[in-house]
Amino acid sequence: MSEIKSEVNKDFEDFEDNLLLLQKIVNELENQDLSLSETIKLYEKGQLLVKQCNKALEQAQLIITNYEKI
Amino acid sequence: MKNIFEVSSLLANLNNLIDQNVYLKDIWIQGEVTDYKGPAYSGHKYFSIKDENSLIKCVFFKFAHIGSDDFLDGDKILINGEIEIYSPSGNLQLKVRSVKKHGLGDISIEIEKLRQRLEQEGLFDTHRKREIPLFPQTICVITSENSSAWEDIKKVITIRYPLANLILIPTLMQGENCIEDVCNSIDIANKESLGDIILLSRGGGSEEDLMPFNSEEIVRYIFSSKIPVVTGIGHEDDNTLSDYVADKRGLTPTGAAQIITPDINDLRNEINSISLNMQKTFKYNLEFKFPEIEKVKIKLQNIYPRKIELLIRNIDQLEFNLNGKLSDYVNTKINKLEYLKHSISIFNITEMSKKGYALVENQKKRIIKSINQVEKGEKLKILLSDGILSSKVENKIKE
Repeated sequence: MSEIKSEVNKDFEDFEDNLLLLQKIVNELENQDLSLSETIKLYEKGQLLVKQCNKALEQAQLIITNYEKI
Repeated sequence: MKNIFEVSSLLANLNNLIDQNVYLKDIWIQGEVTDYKGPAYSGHKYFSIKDENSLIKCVFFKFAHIGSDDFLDGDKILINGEIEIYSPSGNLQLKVRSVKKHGLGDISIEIEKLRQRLEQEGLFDTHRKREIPLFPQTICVITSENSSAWEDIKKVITIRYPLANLILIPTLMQGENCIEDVCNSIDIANKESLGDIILLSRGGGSEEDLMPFNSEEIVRYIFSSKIPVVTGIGHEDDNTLSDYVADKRGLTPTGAAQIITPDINDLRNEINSISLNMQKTFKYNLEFKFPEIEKVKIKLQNIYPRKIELLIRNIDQLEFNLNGKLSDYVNTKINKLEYLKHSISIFNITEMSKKGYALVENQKKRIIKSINQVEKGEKLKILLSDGILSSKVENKIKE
């Protein structure tokens, strides 16, 4: 069944991680004592993650597979 | 000093003790209905249930009636409910959740006995239930391929959560081989790691159809699964032991598909909200944590408009100068053109003829510019403004 598992969409695999990272970035921006360049870097990374998450949601397509019992 | 209770606080304390006892909050009792005169005006049913030696009062609220069997005084019934003390009268009573008539009784009692045994063994303990992933990547569905349950599940997940993968293990969901096939499918899903969640589901049916899901075998396979199992078996009011042991229970196939998947629209909203929040925080940081940026911004706002204004003025001046020079240049050219036009008009043959000048051409129609071009006796034409004179060269005198 390795074929089935290999069909998992890479964008989606990253989705949960990206969402969690995004939340972490917002928390860091809110709470951490950051330098200006760190703030800008975090914000840029956050914007990139927002784009990636939205792209994953736009392109999502359910993959359905039937398992064949021997 | 002895503790002295008010009656109310004593009963409240006793109710608290009852509340803490999970067993008394979900109890099954069988017996004969007595003191029942039909539903009260409110629709609630008040009666008692008794055996040879004892009796307990029961209240069956109207909102809980759905799905329960109707009964009469003297009927033997099986009740599910919870124990409480009714404070105004101090009576112990059973708050009824559902009633089954005893006709089905033997099977129900067997199931209840099994339920109690498995419960004592800890199979239904809440603390052992596996966590359901918030964002399942692959959902392994154990159901019948040509069932409405499978269609409902596909439909719900396509709309709610198309990010997932669905793997169907086609399985017999009723009949003789159902138990063995369901256990086999749970086993395959685990051995081949076919998902991060198992959805065990079938639509509504008769009690007999759903009976395999009360079997100890299926319950134990669900219990032993490494992958979390969610059930969606039958309709809202169908309860099977598989539902008890499952890590989560949906009331129907559709309900089960909903509880295991986040809604894509909620995810979109969440990302938008995080994005807005991030922008606000970023802006706030720039304005308040790094005030020097604001200073530079103000400086830029003050300096640049002035510089730009100056540049615009320079450009205007240059344009003005350029326009002036261009105009002079064009005027000069126009004047020159007029002069040339005038000069040309002077040399216009017609105009010249009018002044007494004439053109001379030979018979080959070539204009004669010198006496060397003609011979004595040669015939020439003299072109005047109003006609032509034919002439002959009599003599050539060089000047």
